[in-house]
Amino acid sequence: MDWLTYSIADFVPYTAETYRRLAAQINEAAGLWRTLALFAPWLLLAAAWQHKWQRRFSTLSTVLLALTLAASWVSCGYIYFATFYSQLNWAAGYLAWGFYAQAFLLLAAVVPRALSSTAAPASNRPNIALRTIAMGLMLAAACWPLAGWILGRTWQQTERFGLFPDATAVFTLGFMILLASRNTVTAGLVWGLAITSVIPLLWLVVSSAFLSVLMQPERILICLAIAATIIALAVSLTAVFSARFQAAAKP
Amino acid sequence: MAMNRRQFLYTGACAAAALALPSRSFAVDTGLQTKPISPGKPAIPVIGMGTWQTFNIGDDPQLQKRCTEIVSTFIDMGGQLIDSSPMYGSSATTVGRALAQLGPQHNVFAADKIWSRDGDATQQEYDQQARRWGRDHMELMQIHNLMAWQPHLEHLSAMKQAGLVDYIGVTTSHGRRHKELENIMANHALDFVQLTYNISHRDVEQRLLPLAREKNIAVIANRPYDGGHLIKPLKHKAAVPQWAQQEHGYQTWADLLLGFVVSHPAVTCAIPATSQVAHMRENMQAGRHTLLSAKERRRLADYVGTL
Repeated sequence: MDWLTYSIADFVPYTAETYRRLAAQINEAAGLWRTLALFAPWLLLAAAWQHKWQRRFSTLSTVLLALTLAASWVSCGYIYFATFYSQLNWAAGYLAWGFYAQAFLLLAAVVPRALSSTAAPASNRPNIALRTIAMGLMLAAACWPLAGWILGRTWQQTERFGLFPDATAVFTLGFMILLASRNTVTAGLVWGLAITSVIPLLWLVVSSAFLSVLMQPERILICLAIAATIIALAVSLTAVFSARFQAAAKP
Repeated sequence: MAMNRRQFLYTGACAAAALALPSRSFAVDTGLQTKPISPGKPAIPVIGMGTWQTFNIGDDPQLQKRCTEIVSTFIDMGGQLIDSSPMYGSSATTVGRALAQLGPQHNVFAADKIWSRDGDATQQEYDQQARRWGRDHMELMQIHNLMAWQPHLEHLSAMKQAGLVDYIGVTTSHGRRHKELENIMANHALDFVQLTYNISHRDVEQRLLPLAREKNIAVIANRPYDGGHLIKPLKHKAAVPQWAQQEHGYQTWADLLLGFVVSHPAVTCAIPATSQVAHMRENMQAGRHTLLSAKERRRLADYVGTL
């Protein structure tokens, strides 16, 4: 009962200035990784663009992308939450475990399927709407530091993929939507998308709430990413149910 | 009494150190208004210091330096009560570091909280917070937001009896759980109660503040600026009323709003939080003005209500 009397503001026990300075501390501590984190999403995005826009991913590239994303979630959990954010928020330890769990879910949802799947039939064309959303999210994550800088952070305070949870969550959602972006998708693929979207979406909701308390403009970007993901999930689920309905309607 | 060479040198060093200490160390009359904690108990200045958000800075050395300056300003200007909580992240540690840097000669009234669902963790939380403050004795321990208040209150009462803490209390904020707070105040022995009170949140005037007076419970008012939401709009809408400037010396809305809070007869002190040294000076200035009468408080509340 006690917890019901708390509001979101009670879970943001720091100022916007401290929060931004924490980002600078993380970037400073990350050393070379902060530069790598700047380019990593662009490399991943280029790989996704090359392999996925017209054809399906190769097994190797899917597994490598999933491994990279899983490592990014572990990195966020350990560096961002357990090491730094825990200085400011008592709940950071719990959030770190959520990020470790997401790394596991990503590997469990993507790797076995990638290793066992065969090529998609030629008739199963890409769903352009889903792919546009997916690439948009991945592009947004890659541009996250630039957006932060434009929105008033110093370059040292910008949040980067693999070190900071917002950009990592947005990129992951884009990647998972990309994997499920065909006109005819199996229920398993959509459930995989749904399951691996829960933690990133929950985090983005929490993050946008925290940033709203701090009146930070990045909250708008996060709300857009949440909306785009929900639309993509709805489109995917509709595709599955309409395929099932059509199959059931056949004599 | 004979004194050997070592004792002589030690005494000499202590005397030299005492002379070298800044004037705050033994400052008595700082011009700050004070109120007794309860009849027959010591008085504390009406302006205290909160640490919510502003002192939760992690290990940032630059922000620590600023926080130390804020604490130094607070103490220099006669402040005593500093309030923190385990819920405020690194705030208690930041205060502890600041006090350590300022040296041992200060007159801080350390107020912290127990914030645990585990009713048997009272002593553990006390030890943890005292360690963060760098102290072995806390003046006031409160039960944060009434969390598991029954067992914690029992333990705190025992700790008070044992001399580990001078005063005990309970806290709420944002106007939460006032009914339950009223029951606790009516039926349990408390020294302090902490609640939200400001010119736009005055419902505590109806029952809780009169009850506090009746039971001789000291009142700490948190969120005197409603989390910073009050000052800016007022600044834009109107100037500080002339009568408040002329009759009491209030120059800014910030010190007038604090003056409104601490002028209530039941309120012992207010604990504004700030991350700016200039704002700390402004806050402390508010405690130097004469208190507003009941009529003036009503007049001010009516005026602000029209804005």
